[in-house]
Amino acid sequence: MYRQEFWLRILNNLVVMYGAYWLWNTLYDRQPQIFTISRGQMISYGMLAMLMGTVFYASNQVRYYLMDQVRTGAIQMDLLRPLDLLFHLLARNSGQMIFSVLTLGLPGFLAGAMFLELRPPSSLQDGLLFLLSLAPAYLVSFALNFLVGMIAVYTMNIQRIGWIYYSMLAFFSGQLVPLWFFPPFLAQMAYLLPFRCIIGIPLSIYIGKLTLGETLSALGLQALWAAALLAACQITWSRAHARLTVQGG
Amino acid sequence: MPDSLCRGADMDTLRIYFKLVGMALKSMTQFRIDFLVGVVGVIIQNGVNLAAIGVILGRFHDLAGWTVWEIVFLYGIWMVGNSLYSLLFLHLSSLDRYIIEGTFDRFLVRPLNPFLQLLGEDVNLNGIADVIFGLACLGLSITNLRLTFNLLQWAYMVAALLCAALIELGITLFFASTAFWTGRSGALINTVNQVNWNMTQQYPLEMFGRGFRVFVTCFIPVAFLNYYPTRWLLGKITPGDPGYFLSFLPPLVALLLLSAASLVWAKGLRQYTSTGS
Amino acid sequence: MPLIHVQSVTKQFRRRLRREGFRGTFANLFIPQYEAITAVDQVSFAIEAGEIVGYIGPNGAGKSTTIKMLSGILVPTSGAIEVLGLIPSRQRKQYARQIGAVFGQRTSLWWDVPVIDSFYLLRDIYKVPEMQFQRNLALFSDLLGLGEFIHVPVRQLSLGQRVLADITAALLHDPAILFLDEPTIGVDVVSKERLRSFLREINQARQVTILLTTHDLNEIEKLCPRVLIIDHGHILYDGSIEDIRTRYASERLLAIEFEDAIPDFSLEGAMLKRSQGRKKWFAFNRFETSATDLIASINLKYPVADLTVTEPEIEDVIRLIYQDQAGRMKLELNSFSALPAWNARLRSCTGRSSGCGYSITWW
Repeated sequence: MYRQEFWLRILNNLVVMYGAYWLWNTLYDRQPQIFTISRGQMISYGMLAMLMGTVFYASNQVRYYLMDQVRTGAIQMDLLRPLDLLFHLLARNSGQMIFSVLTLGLPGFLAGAMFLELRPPSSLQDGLLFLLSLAPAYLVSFALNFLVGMIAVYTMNIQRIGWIYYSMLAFFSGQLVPLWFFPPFLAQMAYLLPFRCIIGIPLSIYIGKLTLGETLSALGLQALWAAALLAACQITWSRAHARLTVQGG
Repeated sequence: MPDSLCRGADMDTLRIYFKLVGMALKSMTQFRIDFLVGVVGVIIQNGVNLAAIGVILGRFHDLAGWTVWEIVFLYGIWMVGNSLYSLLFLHLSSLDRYIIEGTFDRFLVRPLNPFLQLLGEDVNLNGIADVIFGLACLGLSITNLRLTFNLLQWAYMVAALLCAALIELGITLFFASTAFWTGRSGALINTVNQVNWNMTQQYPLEMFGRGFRVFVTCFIPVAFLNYYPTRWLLGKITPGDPGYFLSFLPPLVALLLLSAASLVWAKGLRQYTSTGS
Repeated sequence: MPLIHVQSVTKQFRRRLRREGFRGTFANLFIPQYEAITAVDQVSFAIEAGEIVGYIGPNGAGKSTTIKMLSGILVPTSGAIEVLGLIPSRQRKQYARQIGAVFGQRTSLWWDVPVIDSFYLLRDIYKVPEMQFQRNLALFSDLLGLGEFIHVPVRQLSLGQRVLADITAALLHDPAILFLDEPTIGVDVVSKERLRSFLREINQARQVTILLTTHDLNEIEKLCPRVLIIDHGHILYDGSIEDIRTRYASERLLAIEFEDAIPDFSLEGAMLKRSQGRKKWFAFNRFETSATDLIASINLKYPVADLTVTEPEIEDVIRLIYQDQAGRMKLELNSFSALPAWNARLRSCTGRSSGCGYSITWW
């Protein structure tokens, strides 16, 4: 019964966006010059980061599914079909994600725009490119969840791994703090990791922080990460399948 | 303590609880891997949180009048309270799993309060690593702030930490009990916790607007986990100020939450035996 | 005064309807719809102390629901259940001390820990006096051969061993009643037999009342003098297996292999069902016609090489009982063909010289 959960998530989303609104407002007021962007842009970034986090929550289903299968042992059935599972999960999860966008993302966006000074993208071009960047962002999120789920397949179901993933994601994606705030060392780490493809890059495009050239190369980077991670998913899955057949189930 | 949770509670019950927990500990076959992952997890998760704080504070030298070490103290208080909760009560959020797997039915066939059995079903040893980390944060911040607490303040801190664990227990139990109706509880609790994490655990409430403050004080009262006690301990609020009394409310909040949670639990249990499948 | 008294008990569930598809998911969020499922409908029966009763029915018949109500896990929607003078769901803790329950699909023991440790903890939970505990433990170990695996963690036990351990656990506190919900599913034959003789033993020696649900009709036949048949929430039959045979399974099938192939002939008191090569199959009602007379009269006319008399499997009879929910029914000679397995057996007895078995069974 997703009903209570659904409404609670909407409420929670609003609270979190509201919190972000205040957080960045307060911080901006203190030292506006540190930010290289306008207040409106910063607040929008902060709130959208939270919103996107909530919407992308739907891709966690992939991880939960894999972990559940491992726990109940039903993973054996999945392992007998090497390629089908990946596409099957992707198809199903895409549906869940679309649902999430429509029921959480859009209302949240509208609520933010109406009550919390959420600004539209700085230009139509940016807006369109932003929407475009959501696709690889989702694929990266999907693939990462799949890989984390696969860790459970290999090493037993450990809940903590999910939390570790979530913490790293929240930080290195730029959700908690914009990436350009990071000191050099952390910034370097963040740029090497795929997490920023999920939130950092799309939002940078949205608020117009990147030039056209930078945007296009960022999109390219996203696409590369998405492809690489999906390939990694396929490889780990085939490996697991091979392992199973060698061991004789 | 609320009635339905404590039915039949006495010294004997406590003994049984410890025995159940003993069984749970004995059952930990994956101890070494769990421990390793736990340690790594503590380092990464807390590292990331502190890094976020560090990044912000690196740019802004204080947040709403709170300096770096004061924020670390705030975080430390949250950490210790939360890890005490996660040590003993974390598995309550998996109530849905226990119901689906039939474990809960097993509780009902035994001559013991099912809540007690649920409590004794599991223990999260990783919580110990978290407690240590939290205490380290507290220790460091106390040293760096050159604080000295008198006996009353130490007692207050201990009480506040215990209350924090109980408040989280109350919140979790409240939402977990919905599993009796809906068959799902884990995701719900994660959602609720999102407000907890990333927001109130490390940012003082002064930074947020009134609406948010009201929400985390009156609705999902996570502000009582760390913010109000910290405010009092650090001397940021004096007897004359409005809201001073909030510093002493954690026990009351814990009691109210546990009562509410036990009502939901009892109702849920009745519901389960009426319509459980 | 019956020990277990179930009076017009009905159990209904309200299940939420999950609608499919995109629009369905939206609908689910805003306008929930429910359907009512009646798992158990006006069921009544009484069980006296010391009985062993079998409780059978197809999947989804309401067996598990009944057992759950009897063990205090579920509350009836209407009607009354009284066991040992208590209402299971109301006085749960007091009641739990006096019953033992074994659920076949899952264990009541702690999974990763040696069996004996589970026993010790249960001793504490049920507050069993030490002497009694040791005595029971020794006795059950002996009867069930627990010694082989009592120090092994439950997760490493075979299914049979686990069930034996579960039964022991359920009896350590000397309950008056034992509920068994499909305990022998997937269990090996040796353990099943051990279990059966054990149950018989404790029933006789300690007067433990046993209620057993199962799919295994063999088990029912060997163990339960009395049987309750349930389907779609209704009790279809309450009585002994013997009675079922007498009432519903009075037909016999006589399979004869003649020395030479002979044309079909009719026989008084029997009906020719099938003929192939040198073999013929006749059906007759065993109360109306004696098998010996039949065979004798056949042998007079045509020399008989070999013959078999078989009766319908209890399975088939009971399935027929399920199918005919109107209650009592008498099988006519013609309705033999209503038994699908019977027909299958007929069909399978073709072309193979070894046929349907050459054992001669006389009554």
